[in-house]
Amino acid sequence: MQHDAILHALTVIFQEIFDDDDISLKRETTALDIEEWDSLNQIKIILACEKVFDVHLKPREISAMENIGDMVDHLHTLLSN
Amino acid sequence: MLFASKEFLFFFLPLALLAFHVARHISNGKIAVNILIIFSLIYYSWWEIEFLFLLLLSVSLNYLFLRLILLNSSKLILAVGLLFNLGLLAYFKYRNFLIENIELLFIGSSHSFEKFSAIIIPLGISFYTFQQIAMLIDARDGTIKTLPPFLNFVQFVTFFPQLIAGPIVLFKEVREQIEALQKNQFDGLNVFGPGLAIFSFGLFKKVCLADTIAPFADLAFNSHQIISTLEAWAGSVAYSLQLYFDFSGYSDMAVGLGLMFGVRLPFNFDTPFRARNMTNFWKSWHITMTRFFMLYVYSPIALRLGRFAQFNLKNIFLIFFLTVLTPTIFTFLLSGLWHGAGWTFVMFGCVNGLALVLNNGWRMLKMPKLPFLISWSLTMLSVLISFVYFRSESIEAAHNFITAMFSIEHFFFPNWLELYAEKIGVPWKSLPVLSGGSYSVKFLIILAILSVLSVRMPNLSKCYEKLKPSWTLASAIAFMLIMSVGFLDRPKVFLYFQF
Amino acid sequence: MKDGWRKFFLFKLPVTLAAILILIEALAFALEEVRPNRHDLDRLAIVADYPSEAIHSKIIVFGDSVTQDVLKTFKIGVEGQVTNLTTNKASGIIGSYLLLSRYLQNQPTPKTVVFAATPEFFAFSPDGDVAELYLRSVFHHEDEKEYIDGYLGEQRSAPSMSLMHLEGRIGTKIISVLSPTPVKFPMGQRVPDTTSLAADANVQAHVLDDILKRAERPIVIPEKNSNVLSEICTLAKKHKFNIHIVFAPVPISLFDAWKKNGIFASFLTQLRYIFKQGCQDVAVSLETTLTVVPDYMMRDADHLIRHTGTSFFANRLNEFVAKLANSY
Repeated sequence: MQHDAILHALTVIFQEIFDDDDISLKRETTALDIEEWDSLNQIKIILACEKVFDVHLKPREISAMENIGDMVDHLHTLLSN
Repeated sequence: MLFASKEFLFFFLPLALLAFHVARHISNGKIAVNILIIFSLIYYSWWEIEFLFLLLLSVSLNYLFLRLILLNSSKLILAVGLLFNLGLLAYFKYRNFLIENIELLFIGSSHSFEKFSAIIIPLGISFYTFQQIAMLIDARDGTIKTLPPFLNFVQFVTFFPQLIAGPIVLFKEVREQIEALQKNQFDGLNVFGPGLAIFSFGLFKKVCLADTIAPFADLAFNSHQIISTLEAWAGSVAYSLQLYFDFSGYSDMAVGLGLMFGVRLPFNFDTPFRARNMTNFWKSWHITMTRFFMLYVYSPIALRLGRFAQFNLKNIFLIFFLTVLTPTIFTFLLSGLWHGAGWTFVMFGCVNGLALVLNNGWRMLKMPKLPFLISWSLTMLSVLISFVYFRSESIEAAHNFITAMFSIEHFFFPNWLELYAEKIGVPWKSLPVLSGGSYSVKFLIILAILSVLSVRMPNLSKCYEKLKPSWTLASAIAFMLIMSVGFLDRPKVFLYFQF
Repeated sequence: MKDGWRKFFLFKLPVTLAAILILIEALAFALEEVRPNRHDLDRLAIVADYPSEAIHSKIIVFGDSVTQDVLKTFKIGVEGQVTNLTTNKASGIIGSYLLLSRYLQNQPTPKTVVFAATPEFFAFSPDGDVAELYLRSVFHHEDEKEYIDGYLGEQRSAPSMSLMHLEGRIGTKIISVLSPTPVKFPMGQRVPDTTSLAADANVQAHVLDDILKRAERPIVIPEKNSNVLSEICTLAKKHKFNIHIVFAPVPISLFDAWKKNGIFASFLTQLRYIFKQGCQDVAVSLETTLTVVPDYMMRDADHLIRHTGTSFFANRLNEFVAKLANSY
């Protein structure tokens, strides 16, 4: 899966979880840019990603990421393996 | 030796700074860092020298565990390491609490612990244990890939600005900084200047703000059996402010001290009393502790339960119970207990956990977003009640206090407002806290000023890069340092105590 | 930026530190003569220091907060008959003595000095921060300072710079400047209610607990307090006034407990001995029976409930004052 497709899929996931169709993710987007991005929603994001991308994610790994770009790259690596 | 003491300010700190920076200039960074380690150990020994051996034992064994985990990534070694650390904590901090409650559960009565030798809890054990636990888990995760030199590890754990009261630092936050210091890479006055500013700020918050309101809060909580409604509210707000300025002041001092030695420590508070909901509150109160519990307790549990629920459950209430309520309450009960070995701390955690669950439930049910004032008030109310538990000597005392806050039967005007009370038909009596007119006015003025400051004071430790070497900053530092030193010696006796 | 910080540490910070320090010293110097106005004792000491033509009282009442509660609310005696110099237990009998000395220097001599207080008042001796707050920072005449040093057994070291003790040297002084200067001794205006003791009511459990705890505490008058009492007698001899000791009403549970454990009896014995040794040729009248009230009349272990309990004590004091006045 290409990076852009992953980013798009992530955007859809975020729009659903945060119930906000206006969310538009970029590589530079961080947790600070989305008001309700807390630990609870982090878990929802991880669960949704696991379902959509059929991968296994680790919460501490995700928390350590600086921005969405890191997450996209990580998912790309997992999907490529 | 507290940061806000003459011995620290005029003796230990200048000596430590001098020794460190002179070593950097005339020798090398490695020697300087080693000197810093020595000073950190001296600092710790000042409290209780016996516990220095415990600290060194903990550090040495954890280093061994770290080495073993990095060698073969064994879950078993991690388990042993966690058991050791938690066991140490359980023994030194929770021994009496555990024994008392086990006895109560199985026998129906418990020992009076006056007969046993009093446990003196080793200072900082909650902090340095958790820092090392995080490190072991990170090593097993693969976040830490290589073994640091032993002295680097010691420096990470024992660095005196954060050793006793946090912030809880993750190794990855300081690893490169320590290595940079060892190579004598130091940003000079660019960090020292802001460091001094933040340290002065924190000192001022602790000595001039927290310690000013403390006697009022103490009087209120000591009078829990006879306190009236107005006093209970004033007392709970007073304590909340005291706790905030005390703790955030201390955290600021830690960050400031860190910068003066060239280490950027994470900040711990982000104007929490501006939070409009519980989620925001816990993102801005004791941030590094929340981070630890979220990363190492909440997330793993919530994720596992979430995966289970995703595939096995359909009922939304069950899903909510399993994926939101359970991990949240569990995490907060533990974090409450982490603060102290007592049921009041557990209740502190419980109240916060419940409030957070309610907050999340409201959002998940897609209920309408409340106006700022209402959501802020509800948040502050929950926090206030949790702080009553945190401060109270016992559950009974906390319940007396909370009852007074909400019961119309406890509503009395003070006797010095007798005439007004009788005019408007409100009962009055001699009150323990608002006992005199001038005293009450003083209390309320201090309360008002501190309330405003708690939401208006900037978070310097968050944005120290923006600090410029201006006349304004110089005046602010000078004022805060002088006021703090000037108030260090204030008498501890409660000024208007009625004998 | 580095140069900016260099200039900051070499110049800006030292200049502002020096400027603020000089400002503080200047302020402290300007405020040196301002009398603190933090609590009742401060205010009494201020009024006592200035001769007043308006004072003609023949009776001065000293006591602790139990009595102060009464005299601040109710009118005791007729207009101008009684001067209220009650304080709190924290200032101790030494605080009353120092206040009395000041009063006698500037006001007309009374005929009677009354100590209306709890028995514990005579045994309490302030020290440490309490002594600083209620003695040292109130009584600052040279002879008073010497006396306090002697009482406390140590000399107070004056801070060399106002930087230390900012609160005391500047903070409280500023509040004093902003507060109205007290010009007369306080006296309540309310007429006491006539209280019926037969009313049926329950004492709160924690109040009873505290009363019983109070009952177990021995009352031992330290030697330094007996010296103070002797000094008071010396003043009485010099200024020719007599001394009366009356005790604040006590709750019945306390009375019963003291009867059993002999604490009050032992205290009386000490007091009698002190007066015998140090107060020869002085008329000292010591009330040896306690006035008892039901437990429910107490709002805590020491203080009477407002206004039923305080009215009761006020009526007793009025009777006492009337008897004294008749004897003149």
